[in-house]
Amino acid sequence: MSPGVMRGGGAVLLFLLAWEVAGRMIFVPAVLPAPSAIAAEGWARWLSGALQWDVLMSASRLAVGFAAGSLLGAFLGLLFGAFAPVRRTLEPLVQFLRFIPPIAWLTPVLIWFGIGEEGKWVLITYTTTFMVLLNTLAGFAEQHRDRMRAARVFGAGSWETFLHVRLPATVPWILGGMRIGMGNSFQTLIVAEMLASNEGLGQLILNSRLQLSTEGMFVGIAGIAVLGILADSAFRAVTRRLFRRYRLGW
Amino acid sequence: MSAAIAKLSGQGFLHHLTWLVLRLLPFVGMVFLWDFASRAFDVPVLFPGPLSTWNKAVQLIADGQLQADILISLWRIAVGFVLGSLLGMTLGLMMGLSRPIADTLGPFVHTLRFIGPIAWISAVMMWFGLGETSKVVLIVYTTTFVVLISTMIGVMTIHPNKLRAARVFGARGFRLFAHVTLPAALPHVLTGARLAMMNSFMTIIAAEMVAAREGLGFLIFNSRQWMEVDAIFVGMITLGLLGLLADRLMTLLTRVLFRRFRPADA
Repeated sequence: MSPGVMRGGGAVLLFLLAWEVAGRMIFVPAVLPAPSAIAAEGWARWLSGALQWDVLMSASRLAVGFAAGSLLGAFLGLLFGAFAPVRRTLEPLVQFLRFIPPIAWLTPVLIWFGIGEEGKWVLITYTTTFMVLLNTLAGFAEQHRDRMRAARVFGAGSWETFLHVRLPATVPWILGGMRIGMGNSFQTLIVAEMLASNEGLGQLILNSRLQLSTEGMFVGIAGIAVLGILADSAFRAVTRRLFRRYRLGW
Repeated sequence: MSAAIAKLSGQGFLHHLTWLVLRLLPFVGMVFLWDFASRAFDVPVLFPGPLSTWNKAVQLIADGQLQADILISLWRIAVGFVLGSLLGMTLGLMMGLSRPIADTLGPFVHTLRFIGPIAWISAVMMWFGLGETSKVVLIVYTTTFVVLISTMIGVMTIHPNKLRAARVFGARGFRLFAHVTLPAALPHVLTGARLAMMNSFMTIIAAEMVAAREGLGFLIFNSRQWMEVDAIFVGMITLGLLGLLADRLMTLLTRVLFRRFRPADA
């Protein structure tokens, strides 16, 4: 084991131990339940089959929203990057909308899309799109003077320089935006599940709050964290292999 | 000289005007689309158009409610943003400079990244009560990580030759930090702070779900319970405009104050 992993693992273990002691000796479970109590609650939910169902529903919502948001964000980003007039006209609108969080859209989405799955997808798509779009635009802002000159010397027209120089140079930025966007879509999951849902990890957090079951709330929080770490590692592993020529730094 | 003349003559002015119109066009188009959509919607109360939203805004301003909401929300955002940025910068510098600290804190940072401030609402209410502290804590939470990660990357990507050059000239310890590391990392800190500003504007709604009686987030979330969609729209538009304004202001300030560091986004 590398010293980095050992230090990290040691810190996590020490933290859990301190939390366990604090949870048992100092706080009542309603305020801060010990990790063992949270694990027990999670295990009980797993045995009853409720936890698997929550994870499955949340994962499907995240997958749809993240995929749609990434595609839309990358598409808009490339469109903005390829056609400057499009960017100049639409960018102010994007800049304005990015300060309006998904939670503010809760009621309009409820009215327009109802209480089904669509509304939840829309909210997660919304939050992912901006991150991918903004990162793609940042990628286009990067100058590649020498590469552009080289391409022009070889007779590439403006479309060819876009296709062979600017587009490939943006790929790492799109992927980076997707990684950040994935964090955002996980953060938005709980908002999406505020839209009348009966299952899901976000719903578990919200519902436990009403029932004053702090253990349940932490099971939901831990579930989202574990799912997020797994999804991020999977994304890194896959993109590292698929996009080897870009030498992604992860 | 000829360029200056062209600027002063009608052509330059016309150019600027076309540009302004082009920039405003999507907003105008949006308003028309919005108006059309709200007329086409079955239940007008549930989807008010631009005009009824404007009327609601005028009413809220006449009552003095909107101004009060804006002030209190901006105050909460400002306090949380400043504290969170300072905390994130400190931790980020520590993690960037010391491998053991980075290894120790890393797992926590990467875990918490996926958990949004809204997930912490009930916990924060239990731990910090119903007062202002809880609201500021949530905004600090959302600000810290962005600044932290950005700062850490900034410190880690300093070109080794810069550090070597400084060391050759005898700089070490605090002087190396103050004259090389910090200035080199600053653009990243500022980029992170700009992103964090956006996060804190987005988190104000979550923060004001914690037993608030005023604020833009309260306006949006409370109106939800009464299905006052026009008030929700007023809150959303105000939040978007204020966020945009804060972002511009920050870019401008960064450009003026930190010109020598040339932040990437300015």
